Amino acid sequence: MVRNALLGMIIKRLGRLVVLMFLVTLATTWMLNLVPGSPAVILAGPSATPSVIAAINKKYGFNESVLVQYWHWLSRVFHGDLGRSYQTQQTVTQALSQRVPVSLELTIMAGLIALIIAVPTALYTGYRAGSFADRVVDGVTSSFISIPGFLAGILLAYLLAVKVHVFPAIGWQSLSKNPARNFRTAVLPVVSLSLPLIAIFQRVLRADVIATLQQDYILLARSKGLPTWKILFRHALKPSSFSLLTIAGVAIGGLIGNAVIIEQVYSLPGLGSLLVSSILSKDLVMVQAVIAIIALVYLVLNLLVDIAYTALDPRVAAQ
Amino acid sequence: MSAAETYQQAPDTILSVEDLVLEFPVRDGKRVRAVSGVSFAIHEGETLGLVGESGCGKSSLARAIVQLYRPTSGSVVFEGVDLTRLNGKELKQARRQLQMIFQDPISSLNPRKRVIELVRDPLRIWGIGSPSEQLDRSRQRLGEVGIDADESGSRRPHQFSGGQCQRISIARALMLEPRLLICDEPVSALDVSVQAQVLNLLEDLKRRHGMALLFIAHDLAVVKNISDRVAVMYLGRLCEIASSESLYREPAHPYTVGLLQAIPVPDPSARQPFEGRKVRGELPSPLDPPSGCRFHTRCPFAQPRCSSDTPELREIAPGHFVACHFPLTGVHANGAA
Amino acid sequence: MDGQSQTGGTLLTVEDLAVSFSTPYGTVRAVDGVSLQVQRGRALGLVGESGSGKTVLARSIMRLLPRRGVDTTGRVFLDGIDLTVRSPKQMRAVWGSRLSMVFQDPMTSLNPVLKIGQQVAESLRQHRQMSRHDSRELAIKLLDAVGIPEPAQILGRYPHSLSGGMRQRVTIAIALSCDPVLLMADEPTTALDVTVQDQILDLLQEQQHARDMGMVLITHDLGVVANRTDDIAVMYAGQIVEQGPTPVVFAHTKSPYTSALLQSVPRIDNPPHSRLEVIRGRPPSLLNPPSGCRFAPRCLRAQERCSAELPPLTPGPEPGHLFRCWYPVDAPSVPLESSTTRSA
Repeated sequence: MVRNALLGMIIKRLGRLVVLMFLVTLATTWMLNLVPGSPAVILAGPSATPSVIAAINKKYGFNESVLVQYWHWLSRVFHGDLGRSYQTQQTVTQALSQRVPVSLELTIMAGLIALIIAVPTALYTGYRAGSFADRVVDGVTSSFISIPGFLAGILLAYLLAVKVHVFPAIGWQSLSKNPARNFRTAVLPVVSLSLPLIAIFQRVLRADVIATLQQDYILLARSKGLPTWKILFRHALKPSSFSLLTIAGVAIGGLIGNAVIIEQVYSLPGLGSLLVSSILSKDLVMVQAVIAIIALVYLVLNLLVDIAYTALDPRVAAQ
Repeated sequence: MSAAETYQQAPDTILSVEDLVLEFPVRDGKRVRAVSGVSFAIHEGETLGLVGESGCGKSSLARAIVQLYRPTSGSVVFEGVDLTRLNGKELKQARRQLQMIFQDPISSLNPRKRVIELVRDPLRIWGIGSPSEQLDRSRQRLGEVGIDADESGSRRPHQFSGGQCQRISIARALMLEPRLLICDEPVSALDVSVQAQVLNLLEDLKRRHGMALLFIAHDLAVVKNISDRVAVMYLGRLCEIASSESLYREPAHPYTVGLLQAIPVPDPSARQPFEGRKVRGELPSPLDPPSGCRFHTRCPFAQPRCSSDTPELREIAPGHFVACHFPLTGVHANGAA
Repeated sequence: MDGQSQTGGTLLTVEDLAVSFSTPYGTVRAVDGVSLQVQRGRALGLVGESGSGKTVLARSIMRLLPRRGVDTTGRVFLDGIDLTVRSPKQMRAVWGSRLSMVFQDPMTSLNPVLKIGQQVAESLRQHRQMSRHDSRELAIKLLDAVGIPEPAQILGRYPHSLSGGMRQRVTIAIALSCDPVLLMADEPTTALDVTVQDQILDLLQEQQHARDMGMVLITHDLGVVANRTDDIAVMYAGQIVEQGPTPVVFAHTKSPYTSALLQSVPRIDNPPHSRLEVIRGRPPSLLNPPSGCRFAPRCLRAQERCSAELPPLTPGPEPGHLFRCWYPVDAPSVPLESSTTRSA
């Protein structure tokens, strides 16, 4: 019964995901049309004649209504063709295949590292709330939150790359070509991205752990003679992780497109920098595709969060 | 006065509930019957006790009587007027003499108001008397329930204990001189020593003001002590109604016997009078109540017929009604070995 | 039932236990100089109203109180071992294996996100180093022993799908899993309906006898302990005011508080509309308890001496009976005829 309810929920949410994807891409087309200045002007260059511009407009359909433009884009997408950059003439698929792995790797690694560090720390500081260790952690996480990501990035690059040459300061090696070197190029950006996440996750979870530890079932677990780590990890973690899960879904999803600054600092070929450059050059096809990818990652992550809820709390599944 | 017709009632009947049904929607379009086909009457100046375990529908029944929940069907005739047919405004008028107090005394009082204002509110709302008269009467009522208005009238509810808050809600309920006071588990949140104070107070006030009480509780001993007649409820239906004396002397419904048997008696030398008549198991889900007699799944005396036919409430002795195909009588009920 | 057990001997000894909490308003002495004993295989009823300190006493005996802001003095011996000097790690070896606890509210005392099977098997795996398979087999036996139908199937369920009574049976199974010598049951039936309460009390009594286990049954209801304990201790405002063998305390009540508590409970064999005895006022604040006898401000028998001097626990004529009063009640509080009229 619970299984069926979960399956039903997933099917319902997948349906909603498809609808939302249509809405997001349509809205993107519409908003890009609102931006002043025709892409044709930029494409044709400053000295182009009106007839050249008109020809470009006709070729790319820039004069059509938003709905017609959207329809053209959509029908191409369903044929597996995401279009070709107006600027570089590279296919969008090709550009994405270079950029998406970089962003995904950064996002997943930063999210995982943040969770791996934040969860035990939060359990311990929640258990020993008010202790010296708790106050130290509080100070450290405050600084993680208040220092902007790019500053942390520059600092880390200076200390670990320029000063001691442990890691390269800039550049990227793809995972498939050279995993060892990929790791070395990824460390600094991943750490920079994960610092604020660690702080947020630790604070959210610590607060919930403190509340959970007041529950009767924790006292019962203690009265069974279980060691503290078992009480924390087995009895306290699961019921405390609802807020963490919600926040993590949003925060990790945010990294995929919002890592622009870190990508700039370390000169990484990620989605964020692609998005910014495409917007600046009015490369509409590219912008459309990048935003669609970002939205897709976001929605899938949130679906995963909802599935995780039911895994965490049997009562959610029963409702 | 109101559009509702006047109903025939026995002259001393103050409230009559006829075939009352209360359903709530639950998920998947299903409905749960919290109260299914309950009928009883309360007479002038009488205390009727309504007893049952959690989930039996006793609180829902109380709320359906005062129309806090609108009944699905059936009638609630209070002083000749069917409350189920009244609209909001008419209801407010009719409910003036029908007051209710609740289990949790602290949360049922507005925490921001001073106690004297809380008690005075009903008079102000109804525009009865001048402000100084209203205050006088509020002080007097607070005094009646044992709260010194001069000393503590300007305090707010959170500064009082649970027992005192229950006294304050009683004082407030009495401001409009109700003819029927519905008490929904009024003492179950209180400590034993405080519970006795509130029970004695209710007895005194009832006598002094000549009101009738519908006293709802899960504790049979408490209910017996305060009531003239007692109704026992199980899974939305009435099992038995009788005078408190005969209900306790000659309980006829196996559930009543089970309840009596389960009461812990503070006396090591007392022999359990209904030994061997224990109720088995626990309350079935109200979403999917058992067929026939709803108690048959837990009844030590159940016969095949009990799971198919629903027993109607019938009179087995004057004033003693029971809904059971095989009521226990005499020696049988007392379980002499 | 006779509470006499063959093994005998003292299982639990509490000596002059005191617990105080520091609060922003001052120090609250929740338990004040309590001494008591539980004999092997016998049940002690610990009776008191809310705020009397009975739960704090139970938790301090178990050493389950938080360490911060709590000051505990006195000694607790379980089987001759002083628990008060044991380290938290040493206590973990005692908890759940020799000394276990059942809590008041079964709706909150089971972890909502862990399966029943896991919660029952946990102690077995911890204390007995049992394999997953063996602990599962034993968990099924335990659930069956506490009256849970289809125990194998229940192992895979979560607490929310069980009724309150079933959940309390599960917590009892957990408490009994490693054969403790002493079970502390803190208001185990207060949250339950009366018919279910009766079933759970029967279960506890039956298990206590079958395992020859010591039990402390904590309750506010004198009715609950009357027929199910060998000894009782009545607490008021952090102190024991009367203790002794259960039949003696009921038949020869000496403390005016115990007596008033008995009289204020409506009894099923009273005629309707009987006047209840009332204890005037309410329990004192433990922040600033009254001088002398703590019950004196509410006591109808109080004299001048009562508010000046705290009466010591004084032995009564019956063996083992102690009471704390300068002017004890003489007449038996329970009229003897009542027991004869009850049986048909």
